[in-house]
Amino acid sequence: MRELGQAQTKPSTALPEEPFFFPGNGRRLFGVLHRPKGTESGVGIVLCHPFAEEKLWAHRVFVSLARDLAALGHAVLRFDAAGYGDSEGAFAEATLETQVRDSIAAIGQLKVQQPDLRTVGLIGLRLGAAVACMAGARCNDEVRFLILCEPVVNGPRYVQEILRASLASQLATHGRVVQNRSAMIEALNKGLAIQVEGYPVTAQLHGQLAAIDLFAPDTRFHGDVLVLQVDGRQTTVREELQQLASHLDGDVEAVAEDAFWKEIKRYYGRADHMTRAITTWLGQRYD
Amino acid sequence: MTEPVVFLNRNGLRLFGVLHHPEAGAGKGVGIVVLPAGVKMRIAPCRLYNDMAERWARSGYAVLRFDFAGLGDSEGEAQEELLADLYAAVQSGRYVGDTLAAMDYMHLRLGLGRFILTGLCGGAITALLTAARDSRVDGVLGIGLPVVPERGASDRPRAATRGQAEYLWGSYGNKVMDPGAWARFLTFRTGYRTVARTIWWKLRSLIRRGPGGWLSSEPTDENLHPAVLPAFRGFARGGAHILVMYGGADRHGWEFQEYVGGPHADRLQRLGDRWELHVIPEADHILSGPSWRQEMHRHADDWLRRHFAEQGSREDRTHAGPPDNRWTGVAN
Repeated sequence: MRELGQAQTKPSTALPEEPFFFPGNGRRLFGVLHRPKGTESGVGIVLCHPFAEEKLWAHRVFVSLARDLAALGHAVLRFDAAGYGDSEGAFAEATLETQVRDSIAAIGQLKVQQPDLRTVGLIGLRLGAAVACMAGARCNDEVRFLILCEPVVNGPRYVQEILRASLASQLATHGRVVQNRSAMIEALNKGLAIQVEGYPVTAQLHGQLAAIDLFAPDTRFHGDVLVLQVDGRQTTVREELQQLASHLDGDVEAVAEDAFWKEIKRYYGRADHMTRAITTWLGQRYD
Repeated sequence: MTEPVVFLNRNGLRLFGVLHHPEAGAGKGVGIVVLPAGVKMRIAPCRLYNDMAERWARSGYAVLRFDFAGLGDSEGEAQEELLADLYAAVQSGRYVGDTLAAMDYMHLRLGLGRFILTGLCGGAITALLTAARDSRVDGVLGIGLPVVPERGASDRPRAATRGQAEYLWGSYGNKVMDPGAWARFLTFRTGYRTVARTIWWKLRSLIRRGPGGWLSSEPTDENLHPAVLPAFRGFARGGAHILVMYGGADRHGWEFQEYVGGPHADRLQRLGDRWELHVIPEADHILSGPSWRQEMHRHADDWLRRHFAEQGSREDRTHAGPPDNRWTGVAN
């Protein structure tokens, strides 16, 4: 295996899927490049992963999605942001900002690996969708499209969801709440980190998550957008996602999938409805 | 230094992994293979496996973390529809073959012929089952080792241990005055079956009815994974070492105590210092708390030091040789 720098050229003998490290913001970031199969579409896609344990639960779906996209001739780069997966850095050092910058580094790396790309886009899931939106807004001249799967739209509400997850895990482990919501907020306000399902959430990360606002001017992306509601119970698109799609002049669609980024009874190796919506939308625009 | 690697399993599928090269000197003569837990790939919950591998590499061990076929980044597909069924397949030994391939790969790459297998939960049982089959394995470090085959969630109350029922009963006491708990109870967000069975168990124990029914006062081997005890005994008798660690709040630990540690205490005692059990008080199954992990690391480090520190350098202990049925496919 090799370590790639910005100046590296494409190897002459290459695996269809190649794991490697690439430099990103002073760290070694881990990625897997899925080379396009058959006729190349000229489209390259970076996948932006969700937060903490959601990333692990959703991992195989991302792998299957990347393989399906590569089979259609698209180049795909899956990567771990710093502090996640096999990338360098501790999770406690990871912030929303570092994840956005790492996504931008991944875009650059994809273009190094596949220099003939005509179109580059980002696909993000949950917090990864928010990251994709923010990265796309900073790279409007490089990124042509965003696909936002069940995006985190409202920062304060998302943070409450994270705190609830911490309370639930405390109950499951200890049979009682050891650090209640107020105590967690107090700790964060003092600049201390709290534990959320085994992940240290620092005050800095908490603050950045709470400040997520995909309607803010600095997250305004000007390219093509697809917002996907991924929900097994609702077929009507939620108001906030319709508003997001409208704000970004994009399309919006609901796909029926269970919340595969959480621990659920069903094993999710692939999310076929979500994949079909993505590949159909891409096919209509970039074939 | 860490290196992404791809190697072939015995079915020709590409398995993805990360090889941690030893940092200290010539390196120990035994390699460590870290086996995935459930479906959480080579990272494990909260990056537990990254911590373990980096720590051991600093101590001079070569460590390989990899994904089983059909999981993580590896090729192949798991066909199960339910997570519980996938866990059951893991526990039945589905990935023993991939583990053998991983050892073959480390032999090919680094000349290592002796191994320590480790993992959490499904990784732990895979380690034990592989060790029972392959004489190259010198040690097993099993964290949260499941000894009762995985059941679907609807069957779990039926198979709950006495310890688990006691724990649940105690937790219900705390919830009686908790408005949130009542809100969940009244809005169908509680496991009613578990509650009902726990209450029934408590009532039955209070009126001292005889053993039998869904929670026997005498755990039977019928619930025990059939391969666990033979693997334990056979492996340890061969001169190898087993360390089993559990979190104190891990139901797998209760199951171990009630189905293995208690009923088979005399058999385990005959293994002498070949096997050890360490319980980390109050820790959950995945050792999510920093202090729990630190304790796990300390105990694991001590175990490695006591049993494997004198295994010599890699140069001294090459060519122990894989079994004749080894497969040496390499993808990169």
